Order: sequence, then structure tokens, then C-alpha cells
Amino acid sequence: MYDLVVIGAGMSGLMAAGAGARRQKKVLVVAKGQGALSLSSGCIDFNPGLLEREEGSPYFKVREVVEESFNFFKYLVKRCGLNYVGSPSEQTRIFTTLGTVKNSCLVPESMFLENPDSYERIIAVGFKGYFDFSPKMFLYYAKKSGIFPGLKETEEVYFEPGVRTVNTTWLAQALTRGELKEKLIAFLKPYARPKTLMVFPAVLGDLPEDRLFKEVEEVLGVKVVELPGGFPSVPGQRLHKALVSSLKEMGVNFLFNAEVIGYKKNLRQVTSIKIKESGGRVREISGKAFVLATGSFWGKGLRANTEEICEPIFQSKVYLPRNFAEDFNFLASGIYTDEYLRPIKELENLYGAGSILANSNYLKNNSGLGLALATGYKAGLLALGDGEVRRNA
Amino acid sequence: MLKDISLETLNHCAKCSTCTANCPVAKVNPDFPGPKAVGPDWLRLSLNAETKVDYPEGIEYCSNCKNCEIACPSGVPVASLNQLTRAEKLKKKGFRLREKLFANPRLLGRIAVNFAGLVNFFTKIKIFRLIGKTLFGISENISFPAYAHKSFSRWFGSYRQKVNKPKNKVVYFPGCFTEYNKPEVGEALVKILNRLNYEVIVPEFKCCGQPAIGNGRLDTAQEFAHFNLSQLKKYVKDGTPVLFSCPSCLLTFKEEYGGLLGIEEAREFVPYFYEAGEFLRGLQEIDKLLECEPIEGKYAYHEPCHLKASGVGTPGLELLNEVAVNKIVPLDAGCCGLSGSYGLKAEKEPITEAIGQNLKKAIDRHAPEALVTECGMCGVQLNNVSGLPVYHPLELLAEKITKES
Repeated sequence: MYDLVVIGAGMSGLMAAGAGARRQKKVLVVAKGQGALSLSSGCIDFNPGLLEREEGSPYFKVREVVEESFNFFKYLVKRCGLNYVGSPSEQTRIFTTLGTVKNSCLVPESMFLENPDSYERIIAVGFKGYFDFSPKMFLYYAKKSGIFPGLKETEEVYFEPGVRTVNTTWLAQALTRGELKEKLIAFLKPYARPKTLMVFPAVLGDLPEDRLFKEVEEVLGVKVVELPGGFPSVPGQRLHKALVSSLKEMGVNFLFNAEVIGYKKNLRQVTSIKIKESGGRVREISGKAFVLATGSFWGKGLRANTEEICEPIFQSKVYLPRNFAEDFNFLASGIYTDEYLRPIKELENLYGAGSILANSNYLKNNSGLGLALATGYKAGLLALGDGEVRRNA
Repeated sequence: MLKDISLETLNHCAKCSTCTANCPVAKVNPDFPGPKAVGPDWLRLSLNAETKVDYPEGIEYCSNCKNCEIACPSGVPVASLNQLTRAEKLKKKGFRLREKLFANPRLLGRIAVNFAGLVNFFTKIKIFRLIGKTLFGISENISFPAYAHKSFSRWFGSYRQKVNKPKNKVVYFPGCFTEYNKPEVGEALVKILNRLNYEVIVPEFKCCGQPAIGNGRLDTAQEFAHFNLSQLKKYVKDGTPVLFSCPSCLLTFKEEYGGLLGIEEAREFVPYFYEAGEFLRGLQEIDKLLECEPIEGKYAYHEPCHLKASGVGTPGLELLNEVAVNKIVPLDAGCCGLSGSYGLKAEKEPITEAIGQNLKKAIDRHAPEALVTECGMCGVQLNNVSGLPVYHPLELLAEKITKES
């Protein structure tokens, strides 16, 4: 019997599980497929100013745990050697592969650039056969952005990894291994001078603990920055891996490749969920409390057909935004919850978290992962019956 | 064979590349275009006779580890689709002797177990490995699994089970690795089950078929599947549970028989198939046995890909953590890279070695005394990269649980 069963292994599900692990509870995460987290840029967007303008936003239910949850997130990923920079009260400016500027909140250390005005040269490093990053385009827009007032010189350079076509994850992995790493550093050496910034697509190492950007910085004496963009997203993979590994080390149990297809209840409590494993075997898993963190349309937490949108496991009531098809309004669809993040009045030990929640449109509030992080953490706390959290809510 | 390859299945693929990002082979081998490109992408073209193109280049590098399927957010059976194409391509090219041999571990096992000392000795000698490489395309440096001196069935045949009445019954499928390489795993399970008053039945079986699938011999796999299922029929009809200690055998029975191999009736058997640790964890009586002397020492756990794919979680790890003094460290380093006979082929050797680096890194970081994993071949690779002893969770449990008797 688990103290907490979390459905979904995206940002919100993993944070809910983390809240449980932190209190030494017996936690199980059930997941089918990798959702939107691993496809993300790896940056945690969070914008309280925009969230406050969103009517009925889940933000209002989690405000008091934001600081705590963000700190806990940083602690979790740091355990795997992945450092994040930033805090929920401020925006962090980063560059994308297109050379445009993006505001985010928590960003991987490898993307963080503290004083752009102190650099006089930018070397944009591309890879032959890798088409997701164009140094030329980056430099074109970066120069226009006005972020580098002291800029005197730019250069685009192309490293030859020695294969015909370059698969992103292969490149990220190969660059950390002996020979190619040394070749890359030797290739870059002539460009290393003081006040130089080297920008790379985010492929400097595939694992969370790979700190190739630091190594290049130390060996060459330049500043190195990774740029998010491209598909699949290596920083998104690193983030997902870091959270899962860290939670496993903390004793969280994981059940992958199993789909939750229903539940059982007794009086006003969910007593177990029904899962479908490989080969179609159905079995039940019982727990004391449950968190529904199955994501939105991409994560299959919400299913849409031409008639309606539904939440397939508990049949929670789903909010349909007005003018659904216009201006990406449909992204605000999701399940209604009470002030304790519970979607169904009759099921007192079920909590919802993440992008499945109604009234949060990540394109408009620029807070997708940040809100998932905070709601996940809070749902975990509430599910464990944390009295203080409940009083504050 | 897999019946539901239709445009509709393929159209669930949103081309998000999550599968390719999770493919351990594509990560280390630039010649493998990844599961999406050789799977759904290629099939979309070839379903239409007019756009059909030649078999995808590099598909031989797929190791059927299933990580693509586990990662897919849209439920596309990527790995199974790839096995079909790969098998077709290999068949057309003609099988080499090594594929025929590796496809049925029982062929070699039955002989080797009688001359275990000799076989184990020769597979370690460099010159013989060199000959193996030149003549048969068998890898030069990857260790072969050592053969046991006595097969599991020979031990089981002479072992007297001590069970009180009223007794319960279970069927056990030992799999080739337990049968010929590590009978200790099966022995551990039988002894634990006896303590719980379960009598163990081991009917005659053939190989599960996973090695045959991995070597592109789907007809052979189907033949094994039909035989194994017919052997199980009467037990399953009575509701007797069937236990597996090998994750790959479990996955093959549970998923591949009804899925890839398209044997409809196999689906009816699935509710009775259990991973051994999963079955034990589900028994109330186990709690009392777990109050045994604790397991000491620092162990690290490797989760086999096929265990992950079979959707049962990590029950062995959970059981061990009930008894262990120090929490067992999860390595979480992904696929081991050996993938059964995959890494024993010369051209795959560098791939296996490269994937294994992740394991090595994780083991070095945690510095355990010994390693734990359910899969026999993963164990071979764990030992390859670390030199540490490797145990099946059942072995460690049995040592403590059955101590008094």
C-alpha cells in the first residue's frame, strides 16, 4: 500500500512525488510514455505578473508554496549535477538558437549569461551536418538585439564531427567522449581570446551531470553559452532524467509503460487505480492518496474528439474556453478543481496538478513548466495531508 | 504476425522524436537513423506499393530494447514495427550461421552444460575469440556468459520440495539463462516458494523466443511460442499462476506472443503471467519471511529495459529494500547495451561497449560492493564493465529467507 500514487511523470507528477519523498513517504509514480517535459527547452518559464491577470488561474491556489517548491526543484536536479539559475520573483534573459531573446525564470546554468555587455567577440559554433542551428542566423539577430553594446567582432565557425548526418542525441553524447571532445577543443583554441563569448546549440553533453560547457570554459578561458531550440531537445531530456534519477535515489518507485484506465472507490475515497500493462494485463494498485498529473492534450491527460473534451480516468469535469478555436484559447481547457486542487467533490483524496488544470494557457501566461512545478508540489503536500499547507490555502 | 500495421497505427506517430532521443543505439551509433526513421517513417512510405522504397539502411542496428516504445507518448509499437522490417530484411539477405545459433540458446546450452569447464575456458582464450570473429562474425572482447556445471532442470529433477498441506501451486518458466547459465536463480525461487507453501511445477519448455526475434527468425519464435503456450494451457485453465525470473522471457510471453507474433490466444494467458518478485510481493505471507536477518553491504540496482517494458515496475528492488540495511542504490543508467546476443556480434561490439559506458560511470560514482539485476545478460554486461559480482534479487532474498530451514 503506497502513501501516495502519482499518475504521470511530467514536471507536476515528479514534483508531487518529490514532495512525498521529502517526507519519507512510500511513493509510486505510474507513467505511460514521456510527455511534454522532455520535449521542453529545459527552461522553467514562470511569470506571476501574467498569471495574476488570468481569471481563475491555478496560480492563486499555490502562491504560498512557489518559493519553497522552486528551491526544492533546484535541490532535486542539483543532486544529479544539473544546476539551475534564477528565482520565481525575477525573469532571466536567455538567447535562443535564432538569436532572439527569451525571458524565462529558472534556466540551466549552461544557458545563463550574466553580463552580455562585457563581451567584445562572439564565436557562434555550428556543426557540419547538423541543421538545427545556423550560426549565421544567430549572429544576424543577436547583433540586431542590442544586448551586446560592446560587440566589436563576430565569427561563425563550423566543427566537423566526421559523420554524414548528425543526430542530435548522438552529437550530444559523442562530444563528451575522449577523442571528439579533444578535437572540438583543439578546433576552438585559435578563437579563444579575452572577452569572448562562444555560443553553441544545446548539445554539450547528453546527461544531466555532463558539464562540457564548463570544461570548455576552463580550458579555453572564454564564456560558453548553450542555446535552447532544436528537436529532440537535449536540455529537456537532461531535465527529465535528472528529476527521475534524483527521485529514484530518494526511494520513489516508478512503474513505466503502464496506462491508468480507471479507479475504484469506497465512500468518498479513491482506494485503487486500475492499470493496463504491456500485453493488456489489467491490475489494481492501491494507495492512500492520488495525484492526477497526466498533462494536457500532448500528455493525453485530456482527450478531444469532434464532440467534446474529456479527462479519461476519473471523468472529471472539463472546462471549455469560449471562442475555443480562436487565438489558441483551447489551451486553457482543463479540469476544474476546488481550492485544495481536488477535481471531484466526491473523491476527497484525489488531487490534480500541472497542465491538466483549467484556466492556464501557457502561451498567454508564459508560465507552463513553472506552474506545473508549483501545482505539482502543492498537490503532493495536500495529498499527504500536510495540515499547515491546508490552513494556508 | 503483427496484424494492426495500418496507416492508422502509424498515424498515431506525431514525429516528435521522443523515441529517437531515448534510443540507446542511436545515441552512440551515427549509422543508426533511430527508431522513428526506420520504423513509422519508412513504413508510411512502403505501405503504398507505388512509393515503396528499399529496406531502411541501418535497421540491423536495432536491439529491440523497447526504450522507444516505453518513451512513445502516443502508444505506437515502434520496436515491434522495427522487428518486422528487420526480420524481413535479414531473411531476404539470408541468415548467417551465428544468427541461427543465437536464435536458440538451447542448442548450444544443452551441449555446453555438459562440458561447462571446457567451454568457459575456451571462450576466454583470445585466439579462439579471434577465430570466432573471423569465421563467424562473433565479437572478440565481450565476455560470453559462463555455463553452469549442472542445468536447472537436472537440479530440479532431483530436488525434493518440502511443502505442507494444503499446498498451493505455481508454474515456473526458468528460461535459458537460468537453465544453463545461472541455475542458482531458479533454485532460490523454488526454495522461497516452498517456504510460502507453494509447490513449483516446471513443465518442459522451449526457449521463450526473444533471442529468435532478436536474430530476425520470427518463424522460429512463433514455433516456440506455440509449443510453450500448449504446455501452459492446462495450468492456466485451472488458474495456476505462471512465474518468470527473467524479464525478457516475461516480456516475450506477455507482449510479443500476442503482439509482434500475432498469436491471438496468447492474450488469454496474460493475466496469469507474473514476474517472480511481483508475485512474491503480492503474497501476504511474505511479510513474515521478510522479518529475517537483514541484508548487509552496499548494493546497486540495474533496471533491465525489458522489465521496464513489461510494466510491472521494480518489485525485486522494493522487496530487497524491505530487508536491506542500506537502501539499494538505483543506478538509473539506462540500457546496458548488451541486449542478449546483440553485443556478441562483432559489428555490434563497439555499440555495446559505448552504451555500457553510462553504466560504468554510474557504478564508479556509487562504488557499490556488488550489483543486483533481474536479467542474466544485463548481469554479464554489468560484470564486464565493473568486474563486480552480480546477483538476481531472488538470490539475495533466498539467502536470508531460507536460512533457518
